[in-house]
Amino acid sequence: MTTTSRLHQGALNVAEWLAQPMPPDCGGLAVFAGTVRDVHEGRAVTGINYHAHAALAERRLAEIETEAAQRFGAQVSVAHAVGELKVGDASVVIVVRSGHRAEAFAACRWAIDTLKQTVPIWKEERYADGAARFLEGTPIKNVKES
Amino acid sequence: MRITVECYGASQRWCGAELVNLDLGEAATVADALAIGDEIVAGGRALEEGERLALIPPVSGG
Repeated sequence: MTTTSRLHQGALNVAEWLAQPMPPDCGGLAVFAGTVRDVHEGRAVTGINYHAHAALAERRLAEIETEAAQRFGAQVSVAHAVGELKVGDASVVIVVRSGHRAEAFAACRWAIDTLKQTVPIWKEERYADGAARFLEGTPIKNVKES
Repeated sequence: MRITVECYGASQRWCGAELVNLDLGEAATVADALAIGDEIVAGGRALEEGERLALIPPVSGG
């Protein structure tokens, strides 16, 4: 586990997360990126302000990488944005490098699903009419429970 | 004792502030989905003078 920050102020640049060379024993690279959508439940969205409990979020993101590596035998990197993002900006990136495609897809899916339930980050949506609100979330779980 | 509660997400709106100071009796414990430092803490955990307690409302990252 490295000490590199996995929380990033502002939008993520997906290409930066693909720059690392593939390990020679890997034949599969799976990437998921989440981006800010311009509509939610029929309301026009102009952006999202992402809030986080930084210390706990960093720890949980690192735990997801470690747990995914153990479960799927894959090399997993996760990063999440905090602060103001606009429509189209990338808020989350999951990169998986593994021997074959099956575990790459599985680890990528597990990592994003787990992140949404275990990392203390909150979306505050901003709307075209000037209003803003925090989205309803899910009670936080431990990574091992996911 | 006096402790500080850190409010995140919608709890900032409920409390009207990012930080709330609480004066508690001795032998106070943590009650709900709360974190201290970089860990979620259990409800029975004893509190110590000067600690910062974070409210963790339901999460919505991604």
